[in-house]
Amino acid sequence: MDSVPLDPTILTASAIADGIRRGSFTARQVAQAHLLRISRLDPTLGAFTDITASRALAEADAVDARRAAGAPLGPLAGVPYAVKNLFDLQGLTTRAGSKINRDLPPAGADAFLVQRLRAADAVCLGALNMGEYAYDFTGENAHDGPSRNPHDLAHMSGGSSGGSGAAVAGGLAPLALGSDTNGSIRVPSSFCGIFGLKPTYGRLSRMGTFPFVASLDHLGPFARSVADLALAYDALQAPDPADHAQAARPVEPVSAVLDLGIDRLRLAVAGGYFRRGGMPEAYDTVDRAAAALGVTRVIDIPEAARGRAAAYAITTAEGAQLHLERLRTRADDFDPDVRDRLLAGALVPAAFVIKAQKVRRWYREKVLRLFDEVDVILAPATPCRAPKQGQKTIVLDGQEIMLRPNIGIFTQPISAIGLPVVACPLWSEGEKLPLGVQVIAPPWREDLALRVAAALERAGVARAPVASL
Amino acid sequence: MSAAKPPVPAPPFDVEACIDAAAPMLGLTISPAQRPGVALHLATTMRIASVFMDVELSDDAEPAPVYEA
Repeated sequence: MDSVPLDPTILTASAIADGIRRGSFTARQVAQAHLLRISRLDPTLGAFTDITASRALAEADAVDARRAAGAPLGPLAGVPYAVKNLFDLQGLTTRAGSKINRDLPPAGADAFLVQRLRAADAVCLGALNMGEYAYDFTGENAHDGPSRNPHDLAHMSGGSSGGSGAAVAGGLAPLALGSDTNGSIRVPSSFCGIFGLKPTYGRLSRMGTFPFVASLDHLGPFARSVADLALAYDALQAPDPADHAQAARPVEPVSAVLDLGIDRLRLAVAGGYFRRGGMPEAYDTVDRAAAALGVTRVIDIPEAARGRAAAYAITTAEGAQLHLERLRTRADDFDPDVRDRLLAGALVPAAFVIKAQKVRRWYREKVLRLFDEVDVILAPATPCRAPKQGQKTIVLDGQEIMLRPNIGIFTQPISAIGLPVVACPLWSEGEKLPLGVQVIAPPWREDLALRVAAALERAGVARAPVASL
Repeated sequence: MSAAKPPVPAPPFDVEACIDAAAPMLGLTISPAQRPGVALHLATTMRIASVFMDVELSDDAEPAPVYEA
């Protein structure tokens, strides 16, 4: 490999694209540096399930050739990225974390969002580990092994986009895509100490991804800076008639507004439900973010417990319906933890699921009224720092409860009604592991959440360093 | 239209009876090894569902099958 003046694996996506435009290094050098780091560290981290080295080098060479020819380069020129393995990558089988889907033929085309990144001149490094069929908050996988937390390998990466969290925090990629049905972008962001954006439900096309819960599935990016999240989000926005759930919204770029500041914004901390059921460090993290932003107001998100409960019931029943035939014929090929939850979901009476959908709308109307009074709300992303690998239970409020369903108690009420959220990582003095804050905005106002996240980053409160490995 | 009187409380949800009755109708076989996990998760779901099942909604309340924020 040619020498590179600065290790590109510690750079943000924005810095990589700028460096390639200026000629500080080539896209091939950047791709090679990341592939080398993946080959060295991924056997330990377990972030990748497929490494598309040939594709990465071909895409990087195409970027370098265009620069040499004086042609314009895309906004993510030469930026390496990887995707949760429920995204279609042409020529690869989309396993969605499962053993069963490995029998499917390879994808004939890239997922819509992968096409968008390719059009922006980004470079695809491969597909990332995930919890089976995305029904997971831990980052563990019975078939591929766990993705490990780069900041402490004995701990969980979080899930279900566990490989996405591990890859970005571990410096294997500056950018990754994941999905979030109940918290699967925000939980790994919190546990691995990176920034994650779950956009408004219906904002980004889901075409070419393996679903979990059609009512609640979102896709979004992970990165190590807010500017990178915005850069990726701007590239990902585009209308796609193939996704029936995508809303008819114009493309609304956000990169240019990150520096507008927060002076005119009405900010508040979520109280009530969001101050119960977690460890003290979850509340301390939110309070430190609030102090940095000068936020003193506390508000209640009304009926959050019921909104969360509705999302829980919808998830288990819709997920089970999706997998019913596989549960009938190949139950032994599932991860046992996922299988038992799905089998139980198949048995939930319809009356409960339909009521849950009605309650979701009722809850949405109550929460949207709140945004007459505030612009952005802060809440914990997870009730605790990353638990240890293999941990099955957690003690919250003095009670030992099952870990898997409860990691998402603070994320689930927000995605239940599709609000946009940026997860921001904060670090306590002397702690190896971070904890995330959710920055929550009204529907279609990703710009507001990103502006507040950028303010936290500028204040030095939220940051996403590459792990020392 | 809202109910004029409080709803009659639902009977306790019998998880074991639900597994015995519903699984065969769905063509699902719950093995002895799977049954404790399935029963635990079904009981958890029904306990969580009780949090929203008592919400009183009008008859014209709409579900949100394709959610629009």
